[in-house]
Amino acid sequence: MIRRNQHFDIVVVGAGHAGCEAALAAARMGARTALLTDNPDQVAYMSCNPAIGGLAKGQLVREIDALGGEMGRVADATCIQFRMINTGKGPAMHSPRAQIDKDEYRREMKWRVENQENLSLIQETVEDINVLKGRVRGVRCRSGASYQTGAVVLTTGTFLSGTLLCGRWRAEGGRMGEKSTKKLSEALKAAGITLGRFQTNTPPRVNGRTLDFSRMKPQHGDPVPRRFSFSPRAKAPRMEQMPCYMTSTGPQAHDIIRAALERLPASTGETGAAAPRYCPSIETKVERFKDRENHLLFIEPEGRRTREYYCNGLFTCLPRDIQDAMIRTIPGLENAEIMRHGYGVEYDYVPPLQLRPWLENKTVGRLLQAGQINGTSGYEEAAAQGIIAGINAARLLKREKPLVLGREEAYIGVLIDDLVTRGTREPYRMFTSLAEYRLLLRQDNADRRLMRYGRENGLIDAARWERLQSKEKAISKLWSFLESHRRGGENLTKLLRRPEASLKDLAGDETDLKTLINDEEACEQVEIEARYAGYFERQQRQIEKFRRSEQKKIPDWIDYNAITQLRSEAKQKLSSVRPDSLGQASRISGISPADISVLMLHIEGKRRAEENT
Amino acid sequence: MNGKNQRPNCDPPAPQTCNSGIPGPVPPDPHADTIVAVSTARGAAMRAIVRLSGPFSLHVADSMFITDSGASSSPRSFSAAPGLFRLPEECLNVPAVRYTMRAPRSYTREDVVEMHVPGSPAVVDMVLDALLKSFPKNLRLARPGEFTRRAFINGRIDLAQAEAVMSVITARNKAELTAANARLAGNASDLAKAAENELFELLATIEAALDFDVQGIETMPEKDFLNRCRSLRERLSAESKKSRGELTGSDRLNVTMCGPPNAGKSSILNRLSGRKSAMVHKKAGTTRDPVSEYVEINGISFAVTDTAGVECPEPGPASDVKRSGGECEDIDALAAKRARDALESAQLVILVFDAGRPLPEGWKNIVAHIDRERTLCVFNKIDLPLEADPTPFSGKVRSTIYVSALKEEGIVRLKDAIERVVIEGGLDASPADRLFNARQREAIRQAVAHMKEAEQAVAEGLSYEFAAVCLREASDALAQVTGDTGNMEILDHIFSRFCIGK
Repeated sequence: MIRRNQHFDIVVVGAGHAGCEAALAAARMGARTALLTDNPDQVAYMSCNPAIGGLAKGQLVREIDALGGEMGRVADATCIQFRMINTGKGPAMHSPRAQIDKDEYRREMKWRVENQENLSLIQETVEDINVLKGRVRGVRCRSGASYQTGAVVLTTGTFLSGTLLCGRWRAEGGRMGEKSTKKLSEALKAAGITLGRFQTNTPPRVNGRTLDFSRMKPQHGDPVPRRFSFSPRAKAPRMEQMPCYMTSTGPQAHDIIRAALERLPASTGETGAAAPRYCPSIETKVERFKDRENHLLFIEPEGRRTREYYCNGLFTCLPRDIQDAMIRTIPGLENAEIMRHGYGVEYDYVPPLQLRPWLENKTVGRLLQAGQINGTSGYEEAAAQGIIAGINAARLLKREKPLVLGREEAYIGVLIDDLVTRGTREPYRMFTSLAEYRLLLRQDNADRRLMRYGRENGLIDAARWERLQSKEKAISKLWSFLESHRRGGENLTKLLRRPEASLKDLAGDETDLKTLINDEEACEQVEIEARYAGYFERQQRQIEKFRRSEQKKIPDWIDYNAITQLRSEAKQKLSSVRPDSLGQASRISGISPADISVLMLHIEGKRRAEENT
Repeated sequence: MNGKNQRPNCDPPAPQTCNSGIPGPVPPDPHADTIVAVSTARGAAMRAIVRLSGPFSLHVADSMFITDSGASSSPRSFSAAPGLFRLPEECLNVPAVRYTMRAPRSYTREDVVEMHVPGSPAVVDMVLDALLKSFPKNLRLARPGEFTRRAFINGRIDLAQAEAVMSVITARNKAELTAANARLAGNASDLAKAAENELFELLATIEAALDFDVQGIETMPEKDFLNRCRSLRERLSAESKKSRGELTGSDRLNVTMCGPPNAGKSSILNRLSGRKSAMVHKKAGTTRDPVSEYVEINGISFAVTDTAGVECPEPGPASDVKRSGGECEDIDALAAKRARDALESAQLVILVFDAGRPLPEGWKNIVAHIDRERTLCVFNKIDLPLEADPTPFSGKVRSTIYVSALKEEGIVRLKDAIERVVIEGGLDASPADRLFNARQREAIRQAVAHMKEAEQAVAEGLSYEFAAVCLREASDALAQVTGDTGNMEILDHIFSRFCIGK
């Protein structure tokens, strides 16, 4: 029997990394939530690399966890290799990264979704949205069922009019072997939403039985794996750890690739679907860096119960025979059997300038979006938007002020502000350089920065909150001890500032301090803050300046087209972004300081005019 | 038939392409206000210029001005017409010349009208009054620097050029004019932009190393970074030093305070510096030796020298000079000589008098020796009944400021006046080919300092993300030279300090 016209508070379309976080957050906030997916076996499926975290992305995962998201905990449970990368640099660059058993990951996430109260995981393919008076009211599915709802979170990934590409072969699909949907694209366009097109590539995966690991350099995880999650209950990885392997392409492979360049998908250029520059296909790398004789590859395990290995660095949509020939020139892969060939996927996205800072669509109210549909790439970026979209869908229904994180408080804030203010011309990936205040946005203090938001929204349980409180208490006790004690005429804080100094050494046999340094995380915070105090204060001053310009609000009534002094480009850009503050306006690409000055004048003039009347 | 009906004197107004120029009962945009100001120096002169800018200016001019030919305003982008300016309240018409510059071919890229009227202060006041009274809703007095601000906003000139406009106006000798013109042509912006680009590249290189390190991209060796950063920094500071000329030989601008004893010079110095380094006492003559203090006033560094007070700075009869100059035994004479030296050599002189007592006779004649452009007159102790008569100094100094160091009144006004002398080019009096003005030099000084910090961070073995923080600040500072910055405060700051009318 087809159940028609079911009602849910919130409907999440798509059960990928964004969809799962959105649905879990909404359900935990008390909203009756439906998570609709084409294929419930593929919940939180890792379509591309079998890894979570990495530079800037690891920080995102820690932030998601601090907000009460699921990604960090599931990654901890299913990790087969954990590394804290960049430990040679300062603490802001330290990033957790883990190889994940990808089958285990989706099973674990599905299990958690299934066990979540208020949340229904349902197999449906959404083909249409129902919009009335500027607001979304429900969705219609291929099965004929429809769902009435107060808010919809769209997390379509690569499935929105997805097209798969490999050489001259192309077919419709969102992932190899899975259908895409064109009808939803049409429905969005009909609702007045503009769509764009992006492309992304995957590398071949090979059978480990056919690899010669002795010819490659193994890369092991940290001897003592750490965790993504701040949860006191999170345990060390339960699975046996596995190494990755490093190898590289050589001139022979490059010759093969060069000879086959004309057999690339014609579409790449024609449709103008932009592919990410930071994650170039091997053919692009060979073309662009002609003088390089080799390119580094990482051969990464996809799980414990599979022999499949992922060839990181070999992103391609060259024809299959070329992939076969090319891969056999690579040391260690001479006899490699490709299990899945690399392919590209082209998909529709919604250029994110059409979004409000809380991820709601400006054209269609109560329609929120997260993940690749907003022009991003990466599981972590998707999940980060997912939890924010989920929280805000629930908050909108409760008529509460939406949650918007600032650039100065979270990578998530930077990510979303960049999307809705600057837009993106290629799939957006998080980098540390995008965060102006990155010295303060560290993975080690994500809980101290953000957990209160998770707690406010009921996503952080008492145990985790208590843990943070006791950590904060330990930190302030340590500080007051350091500040009030001297040794050899020197303040203890000063002593701790010395390179290589640690609280443990400082404590020595002093019993008072020894009892205070039991909390390792608290010690880490104090050590970092003492050592880099000068730089942190500098960033803090920058943040205060930044906040001042963010506080210069642009009133709602402003009509950019009526400000004659504005250049027409500025009028158009400001009208489409409708920035919240002069600070945000100044970040819009193509908006000059002169435009800001005009805006300032105009707002000030109007304010004075009103004062005078 | 058509030919007959055409009456030459009653031509309908020619169709105008620029709608903001159509005079009509309704102004084109009620929110885009029109500004007016006298743009010539105040005081009797051959003629004065009353300038209007904004969508309403043509309409205003048309209704207040009658051309000799009787024709209404010309549709041409630039036109000049002699005629009469009506003063309805006085039932008087003033002979004037009207210059019309239509948008966008004007200084502000708005419709601009200039009324050249006889340069009597009374007439100018009446003209201004008549204009403001006749159009109370659509016309207002320009704020300081607003014409230039509009020129900048409308993309007519960039920030460096906007500041250079000030220098052209205040340039007093040919060499200075050349430097100011070079600035106006964008040389300063070009130089700063080139440096900015180079800095940006350096920043991009280390950022790339930070963000792509894991992908096997080589990090820039620290030695290379240090070399590149140092070389750019040294070039920058050389440029800015070159442009500083022989002004001081130090990094700071020289300010000297002099005046009679117990006028409160030291108290003012302490107020300016926010410290208490100069000894103060209610007893006269507390300061015997000049005290120098480095003071940051509105972001610009100064070396302020506090001199001992003297009753009479004037060289008296010839014999007096000989005696004091020769033997140097008379302390008061020595102090007087120092004060005179300061008057001659300081870049900026602040005369300080006690408002609570009459001006000492010996100081009244000082006006003959002072350079108006680089002298400020301060009357301290305005908390006391006013006894001093400021008239000997009126018009002879750049501005007169009333303060109370005790009650901390007027100190902000004094600071602003000092900054204004610098920004308006009063201190840039030496004939060196200076490209950067004081504010720009200050920005460059900051950029250089931040670059040094970046080098320090790397030299200390900290990884590049720390240097990046400093380089970003350096880049922000450099951007302030050209105005290519999102930093909005600086814009407001600069524009509020332009003199009215230009």
